[in-house]
Amino acid sequence: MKCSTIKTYCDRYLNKELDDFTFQLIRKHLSTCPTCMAFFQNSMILADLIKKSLSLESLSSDFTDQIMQAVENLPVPQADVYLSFPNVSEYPNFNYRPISPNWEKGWTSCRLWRDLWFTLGNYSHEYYLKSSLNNLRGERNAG
Amino acid sequence: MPYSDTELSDFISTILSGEVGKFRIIVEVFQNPVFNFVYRIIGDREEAKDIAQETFLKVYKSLGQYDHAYKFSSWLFRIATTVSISYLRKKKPIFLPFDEGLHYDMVSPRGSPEEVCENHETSSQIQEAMLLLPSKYRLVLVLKYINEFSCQEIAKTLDTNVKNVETSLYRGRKMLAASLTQNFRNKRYKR
Repeated sequence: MKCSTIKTYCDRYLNKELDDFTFQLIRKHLSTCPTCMAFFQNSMILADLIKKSLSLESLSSDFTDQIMQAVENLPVPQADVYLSFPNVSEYPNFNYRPISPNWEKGWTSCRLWRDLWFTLGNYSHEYYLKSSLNNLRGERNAG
Repeated sequence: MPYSDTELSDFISTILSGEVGKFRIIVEVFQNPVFNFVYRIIGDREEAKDIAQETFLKVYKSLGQYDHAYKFSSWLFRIATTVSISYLRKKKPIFLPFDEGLHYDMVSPRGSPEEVCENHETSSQIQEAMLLLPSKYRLVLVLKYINEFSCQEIAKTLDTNVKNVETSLYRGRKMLAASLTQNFRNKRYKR
């Protein structure tokens, strides 16, 4: 791994959010690369500084009371219908769509044309086979 | 966190069935984290209180849309981010400096008065530098260091991927360090 890619893993490395393989890889790199080590130490120091300087505050229970007063005037929220929709896999034929009868009305795709294409296809295949067989026979005869 | 995710989702389903009083528990659990988050994003205490209140009302109104497959805290903080960012858009200039009285409780009691004074100065400098960062970096840094979210949780809250969160953390910290050193250098030249 390059130093630049190692640096992007810094936060997850310090929080131990990485998988074991990557963790060991970075650890190995840090033991050999002093600049990356310095970078990691600096970011740790900065993180500590930020955590120390930005202290947490707590609100009083008046805040909760105010919110609850406001909430009591609102209507009770209703569960969304779409979230309670049953799973798609419960329907065995969900993907099945019957062909609409309109399919047979248009002139380009009418039943007659369809039959014609089918027959042509079938026969052309047969003709091709027959002709190729004849050719083979002819070649044999000639040989 | 005193309650697990399953307990919280149980509370939510009881609220949806009409027992509104249970919402009090959710407010009590999340009011301080949400307030601290909004306060660090906005930088003004009274405004932050109002926005935290607005966030909870919005959460209550859209509680029916909460999907139990997701973590509740990520969903709640996503609402908090949208509310606070829309506030920032409406009101462009950021308040500087921070209001007084905040810094006193975080200074450690031990150490000489000079040290205490220096600590006080650096913390206020960091707060100012945080407010001067672009909002996307500030969001990530606050979620990381104040609310102590993991990168995964931040990514879910802000609706991005982990790689993006990591780079913005990296850049945010870099910018913060740069602005802090600039501050320190300026001071040194002044003296």
